[in-house]
Amino acid sequence: MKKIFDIAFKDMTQSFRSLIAIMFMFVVPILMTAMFSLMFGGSDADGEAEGFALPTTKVILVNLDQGSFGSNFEMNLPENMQQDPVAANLSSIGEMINMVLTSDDLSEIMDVSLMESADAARQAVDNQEAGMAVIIPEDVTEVFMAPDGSAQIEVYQDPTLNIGPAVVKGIITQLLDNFSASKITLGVAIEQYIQSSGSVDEAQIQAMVAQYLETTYPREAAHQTSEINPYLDIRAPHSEDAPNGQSFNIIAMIMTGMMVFYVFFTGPSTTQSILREEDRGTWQRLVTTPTPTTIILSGKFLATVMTIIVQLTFLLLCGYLIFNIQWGELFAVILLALCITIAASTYGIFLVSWMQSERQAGIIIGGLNTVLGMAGMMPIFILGIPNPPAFVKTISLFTPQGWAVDGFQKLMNGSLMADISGNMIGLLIWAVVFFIIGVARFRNRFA
Amino acid sequence: MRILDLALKDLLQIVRDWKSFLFLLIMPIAFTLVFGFAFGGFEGENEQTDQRLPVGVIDQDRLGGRYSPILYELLSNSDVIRPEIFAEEIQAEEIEKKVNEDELAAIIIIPAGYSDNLPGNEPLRLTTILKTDTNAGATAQNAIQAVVNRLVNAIGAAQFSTQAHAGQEPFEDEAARQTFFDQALNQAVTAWDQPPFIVVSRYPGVQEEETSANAFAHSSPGMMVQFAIAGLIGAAEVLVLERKSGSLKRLLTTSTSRWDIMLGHYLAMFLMIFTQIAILIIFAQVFLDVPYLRAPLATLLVAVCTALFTGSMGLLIGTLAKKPEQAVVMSLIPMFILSGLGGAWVPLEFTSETFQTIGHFTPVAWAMDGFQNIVMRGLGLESVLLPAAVLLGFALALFGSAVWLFKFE
Repeated sequence: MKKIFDIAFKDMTQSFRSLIAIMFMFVVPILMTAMFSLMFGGSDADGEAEGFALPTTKVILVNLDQGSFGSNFEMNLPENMQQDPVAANLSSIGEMINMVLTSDDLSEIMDVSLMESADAARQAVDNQEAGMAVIIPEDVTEVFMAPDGSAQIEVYQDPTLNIGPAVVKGIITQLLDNFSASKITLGVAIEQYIQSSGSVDEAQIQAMVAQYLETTYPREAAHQTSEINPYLDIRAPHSEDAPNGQSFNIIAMIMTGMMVFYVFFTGPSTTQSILREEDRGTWQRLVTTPTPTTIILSGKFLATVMTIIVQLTFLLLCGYLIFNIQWGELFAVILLALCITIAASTYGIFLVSWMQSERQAGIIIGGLNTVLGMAGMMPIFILGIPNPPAFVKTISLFTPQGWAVDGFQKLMNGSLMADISGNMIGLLIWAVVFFIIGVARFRNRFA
Repeated sequence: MRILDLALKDLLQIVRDWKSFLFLLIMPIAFTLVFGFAFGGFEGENEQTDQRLPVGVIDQDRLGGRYSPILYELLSNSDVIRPEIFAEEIQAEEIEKKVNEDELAAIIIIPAGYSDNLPGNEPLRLTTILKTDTNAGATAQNAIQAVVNRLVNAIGAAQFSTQAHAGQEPFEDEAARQTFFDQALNQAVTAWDQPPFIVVSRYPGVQEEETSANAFAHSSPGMMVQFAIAGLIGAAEVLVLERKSGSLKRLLTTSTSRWDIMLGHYLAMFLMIFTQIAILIIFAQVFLDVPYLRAPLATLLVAVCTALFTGSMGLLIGTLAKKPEQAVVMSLIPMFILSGLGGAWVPLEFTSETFQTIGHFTPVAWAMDGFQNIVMRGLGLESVLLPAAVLLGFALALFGSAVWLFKFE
């Protein structure tokens, strides 16, 4: 037993003496998390994600609208609407869209500048001087005032952008829906009137418009000024079990991903000492001593296990202390960490058993870890992507890293020990497979 | 000639290892597909795949509720969300868990009595459960709000039409009034299928018949650049092993100049990376319809400059690393940092403005800009001159550093 510990401590000392190994095991995961923390806005003092801050979208507005609501329309406005200075001064839909998009309320979402030419605006988007151009056609108010017809507002956008243009598009659509609502309401009323009476004259239409404005405007105005959404009671999903309400903390997920990735790197990197000893000839010297090969290999394995325990403990503590990550129920976190340690250590034995020399180690360890790590982190990459395909998440479960990431994700979402038992069993199955294959190959090699 | 010999020797060393092929070509293709699918790569091409956000609906107003079926119809017609009916008896915790675990973007609970109260001044509100701090939640919220507004308007239109008619000609009885109202409601709901005012999106470089840009247009250059850097693990190792085995010392005693040695290794790395990029470009063009060959000269320029920069980085790593494991670590760390910062995984659009600026201190962001100008923005040679110049600048700086360090060899 003493020999096992002696070999383990010798290997650990070697690992911890290497500045590059220290950097890779302890510093890089923290730095990477800090970098992504900056990237996505970080977390507040309580450790909760501050939420995604939308970058301001540069918008060019081209208002070609030539139409006007006209004096008849203004005369038909109800008295309360005529007294509203904003409503009374707007003479076209183009002006109304302009007013909304350039309002102070939206200044953090979009930075709007005006242009007179649609082609020049499109050119500015092509030149990446703006993220999008909103082009209001010349007939939009005319269409609104006519009984029939339709109009399209063009959003010409940089195809590399999604969120900003989607938000602006949503705002314009909501605004246009108000005009569509008026047109649909009056259209239905006029059509039904014609169906039942055979015809409708201009005076009757004007009377309907006046009646519509009289009945609709006060209700809409009341809804717009109300702080309570009149139709939707919006609330977040119940997650009282989630520690610190941490249902969506991207920084916690990134830290998890980095931790799991680098831990699974440490497994084979530490076990690689077998190859190093073979290359240097110290292995051959070691096996001439009375120490059995099993004891030597056990010592190597123990070194890997202990190195990973130190690394995981350090990273879990740093996650808690620096990024205020609430990992979840302590006992479950410890057990999951132990399962990850066993899986990562046996993964090291498995991987190194396939290599004949240190020379092969680079591409195999580096390449395979990059690939398996990225596949395992797929649930993190797709965070925030609307409706990601289910198979993308499933792919991660074909890797031990995926089971580990999923386990931590569940614990941070408030799951208890029973909920992650599948993850722990999954990791242990991987460990058993890795161990059996790895040990069998080493036995053949050192027989 | 010596440069070519050295380059050929390095290339043979790299190509002889089948694992290099797996890592340089198969993996970037696999991840291009996975990331492309995640970002909706085949959206619209497969009718069986509904890309709309799934939204759970619990209808407690089912019995006697006349507007909940219309609400469901309007939700079904949405371009953004896809309603899924859940049994009324389902436990709240069970369905909310689906939102927490991102299986559903939102849940809508239609309360009992909703239809009776909707036309009034104080309607019952739909309970809407969603994560407002996620893209999916925010998008679903806007879509649900738009649908509800349309339902309320359709009812308002029917009420208005009925009142207007009654003002001119009173109904015979309540049944006639109801029939008139129902007809008006149907007309209004139908009209909302194609509202008179709509917003249409147009994209530069995208044909009229295409609805949006190809989702692989981001994942393809992203993975290409990332795995070009990852490929340095093997390439830089060649230099390290040459030093470790003593053959570098032997080489330095010959008449081969240091410049020849450096240029030979650099040429090998450049050729390996350029070939890798070229194959990945052809794959993406042929199988994924990513239009790299829309501007072949521009694509060639960005590909060459990316290979020059990556090769320089490989040379520097090979010069710095004393052991093979150091070459691995020195390749993986910049791969992760540069790919993350440069927007190879997640578009920089998702990050703050400050971060976008920081990201552009990395060559990966410029390589991404160059390729995206071609494949997404549909621009030509002129648009890639700046990204190409920046990449060349990085290449020169890294190459200069490697040459300087090699002096002390």
